[in-house]
Amino acid sequence: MNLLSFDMMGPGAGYVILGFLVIVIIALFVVAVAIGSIIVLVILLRKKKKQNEAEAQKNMRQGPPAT
Amino acid sequence: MTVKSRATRAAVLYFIIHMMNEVVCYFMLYRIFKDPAFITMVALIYNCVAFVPQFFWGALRDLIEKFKPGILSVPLLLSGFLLFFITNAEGALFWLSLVLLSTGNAMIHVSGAELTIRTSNGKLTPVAVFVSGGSFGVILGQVLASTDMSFWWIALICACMMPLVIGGERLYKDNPKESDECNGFNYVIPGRKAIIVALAVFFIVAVRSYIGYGIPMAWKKTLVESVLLYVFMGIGKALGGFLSDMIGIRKTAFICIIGALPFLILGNKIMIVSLIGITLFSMTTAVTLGMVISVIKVAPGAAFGITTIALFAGAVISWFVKSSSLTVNVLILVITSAVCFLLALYILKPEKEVS
Repeated sequence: MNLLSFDMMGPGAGYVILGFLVIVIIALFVVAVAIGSIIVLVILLRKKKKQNEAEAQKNMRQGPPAT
Repeated sequence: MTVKSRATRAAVLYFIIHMMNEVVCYFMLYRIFKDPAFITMVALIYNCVAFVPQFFWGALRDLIEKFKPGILSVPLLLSGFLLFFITNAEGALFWLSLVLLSTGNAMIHVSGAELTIRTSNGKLTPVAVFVSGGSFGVILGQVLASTDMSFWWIALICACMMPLVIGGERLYKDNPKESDECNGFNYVIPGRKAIIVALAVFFIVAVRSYIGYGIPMAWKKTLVESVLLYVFMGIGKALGGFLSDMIGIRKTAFICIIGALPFLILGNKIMIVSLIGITLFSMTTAVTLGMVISVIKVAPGAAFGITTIALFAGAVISWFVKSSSLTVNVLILVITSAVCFLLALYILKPEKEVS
């Protein structure tokens, strides 16, 4: 399959260049996924923190359970 | 429905779904007849898109409860699969079909991990059984691809996954809050920092993934022997979860990291010895999952994703740094196993303290 044809560079050169491009793209992809995931996790942690604070406030307003 | 029966159903359901998913993916991958350099590139891209984004999809599912990766996965898998076979895809269309297939694969993994972890009430057997289904599917997909079976049969298998996935989503109904929030996962010694544990798990999984490719297996020559290898790998993955729940995660860590060593080293030419080693070696999956979920309870999907990125990292390193010397491979196996075991001892609670 001729994905890239670089005849003057000899047979297989197309794959070397394509391979290099694939590695660069994969590296960028991994970084992008990591950043995206960390952003989502930060939002999730903030959401959980708010939920916990709201629950704690609700418990304080209700006071200790009647015995 | 009791917690136990819900967890059992989730495990069995996703064992089957995971197996079907891998059959679909590997059937397509093993019907790509090109030169070895091209196949290596396909494998690299497939693994990258299938493994790395599981961290992102998992985190997104943890954040947005209404996001259903399982439901999205089947149309993605089916469209990628059919695009490849119907259009005899070349060029951009081929890469599109591959990305669709691997994204569907990633989402089914996240869906299975979420369900089996959130319904298990802190037990590791369900998620381990779910993970083990993949090994059986990988080899079955390869075997079917080598026959003259029509791709339509596999497309039918893919379509049949939809009702099963919907059935899985229904198991969330009335799931106890305690179990849903993963409060039962308490396998890590209190005080250990989440980031340290996550990095240690990443290291252990990446190293195990790397050395998995370097295990000496001169005996593996025929198709039947390859089938046996994957079957024992699958059994090991499930057994890891079962043993962790039965005898404790620390003892299981010892068995799968140190106990596997002599079998792996001595099993180069003796199949049965090697298969015992592979079974023990594969048990690590459940142990590392138990560790990482215990420190990221709010995001079990993302926790699962950390292990899949590590698997990819290990595979990539093995492609670029490979040793064909038996002595070097054995040395790597022994040294890395010792480091992994010390890390496991540092992180995991002794059995009597696990609640």
